[in-house]
Amino acid sequence: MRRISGWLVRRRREGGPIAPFLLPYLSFFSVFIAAPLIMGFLLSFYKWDLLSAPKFLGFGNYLYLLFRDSKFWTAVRNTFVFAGISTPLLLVVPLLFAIALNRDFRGRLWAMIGLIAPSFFPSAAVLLVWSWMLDVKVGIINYYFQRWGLQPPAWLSDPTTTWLIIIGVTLWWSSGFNTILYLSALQKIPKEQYEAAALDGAGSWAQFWHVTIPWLRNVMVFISTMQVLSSFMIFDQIYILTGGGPYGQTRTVVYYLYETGFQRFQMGRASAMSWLLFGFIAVFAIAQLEVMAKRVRAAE
Amino acid sequence: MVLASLYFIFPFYWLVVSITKNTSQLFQKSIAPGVPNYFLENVRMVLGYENGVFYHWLRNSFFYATAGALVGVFIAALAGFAFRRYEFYGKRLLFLLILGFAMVPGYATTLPLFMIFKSLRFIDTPWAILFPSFVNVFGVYLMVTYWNQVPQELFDAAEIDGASDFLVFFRIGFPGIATGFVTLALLAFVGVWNNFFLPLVMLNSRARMPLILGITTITDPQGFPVYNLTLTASFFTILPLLVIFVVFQRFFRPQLYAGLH
Repeated sequence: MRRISGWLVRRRREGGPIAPFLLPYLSFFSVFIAAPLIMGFLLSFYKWDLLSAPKFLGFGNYLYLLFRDSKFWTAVRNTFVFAGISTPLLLVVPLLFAIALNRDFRGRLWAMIGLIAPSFFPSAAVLLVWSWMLDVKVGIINYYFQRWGLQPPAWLSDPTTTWLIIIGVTLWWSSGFNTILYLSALQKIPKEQYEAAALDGAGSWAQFWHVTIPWLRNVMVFISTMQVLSSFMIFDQIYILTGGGPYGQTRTVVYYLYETGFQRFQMGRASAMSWLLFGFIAVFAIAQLEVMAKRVRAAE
Repeated sequence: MVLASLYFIFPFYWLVVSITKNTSQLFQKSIAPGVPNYFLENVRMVLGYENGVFYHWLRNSFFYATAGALVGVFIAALAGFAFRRYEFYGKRLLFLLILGFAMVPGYATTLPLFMIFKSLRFIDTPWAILFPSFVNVFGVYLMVTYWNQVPQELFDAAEIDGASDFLVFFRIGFPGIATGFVTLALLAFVGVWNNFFLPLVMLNSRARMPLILGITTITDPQGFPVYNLTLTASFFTILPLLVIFVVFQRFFRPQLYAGLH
């Protein structure tokens, strides 16, 4: 060990070896992140049910998923639809909150806590409360629909309303996090910029458009990236609220991965799926980096 | 505006009101708290549910989250120190590698991790939750930035005094990164407390589950939902986080994620 670290390390002046500092992390990292990733990659070329011996399939799992498995493509479509709808909402709604919270008013602190705290709440608790509110027979929401003489929707039996609920709950749950991001960016905008804009005769709308938005560009790029990435991962909402139903119309990629790997124990196919998901994410992340790099160059 | 505040406030309110009611009061759907107030009775029922399995969930949640957060952030602090204080071959590459892996979704590693843990017989033991929480990829990245903020003079002074690296780490560096440490540990605590997928996949026995998973398994013996129990238990899954959030408010800075601080 000492020879290895002596070879690896050009020490800064005196002091002990580097190993005790770097080794704990590196060993955990290799065993619990790097090794599983590599193992998952290798496994994606096999058929394995955890019981019998793994059977080599070559690209069989990938070909099956991409060309023969309509369920997989439905899951991909569902995931993209969710990402496509929830991302703009989570970009705009928190901005409105942040602008409201950026002024001084009585009870501002409590409004902030009330708005921001839910983004640190455990998914299951939040989702159980919502599913209790939305329950067709005993839920409060349908009760009021009936009381006001409206036909109560069968929330979780219709794909459209089910998606409406999933997106609505997600918005409730994660707006707060983005709101703080916006809020801290808003507070960095120099007051003089608004004053100068006002002197030039800019109304509040023009000020918002020409002063606020440019200052928020970085945060917006960050939020949209994070939001797309995390909507690709959507699982808890599906597991607790819908179980992928009705008729698989809310089955997302990670939920399908869960069903394939942990309920049907098709380990190879599920590994292939997680690498495809990883591929989507990598392509998206690289595209996003390209866009950002271009912006930076344009700004220079 | 009214609709928006209703949408954001009402679920809170409804949870708090609902846990004061027994089942028949719940079905009356009154907006007011239950009369008579059944809150204490609900708490007693939650604690007594299935021979007190709720105690296990609560203890497990605190244990997994505290141990996972502290060990994970401590290991990350050590690694961050190494990146700050040493020059070694492949340092940049290693750092980029760590950053790159921070992008890898947990779902991609959970499945092979499940197989590894199965062969190590870790499935359905606390280790299956603890070990993955010890690797705080994002923490290393942040720890490097924290350590970089500690002024060089502090290190130099310590070296002149002949302090060993461990002394430097604890005595000089640590006070310098204490705020960062607390912030990261809190975020990691919340992260482990709220992790649903990992325990769902790794644990089978109810007595080993954390709260977040346990509360989804509450049913009566026939398998029907017991609303007053589920809601009260949900409330107590949220409450510790709410308390932590309010007490440590100034440490919760999501801006950290954005590197915008």
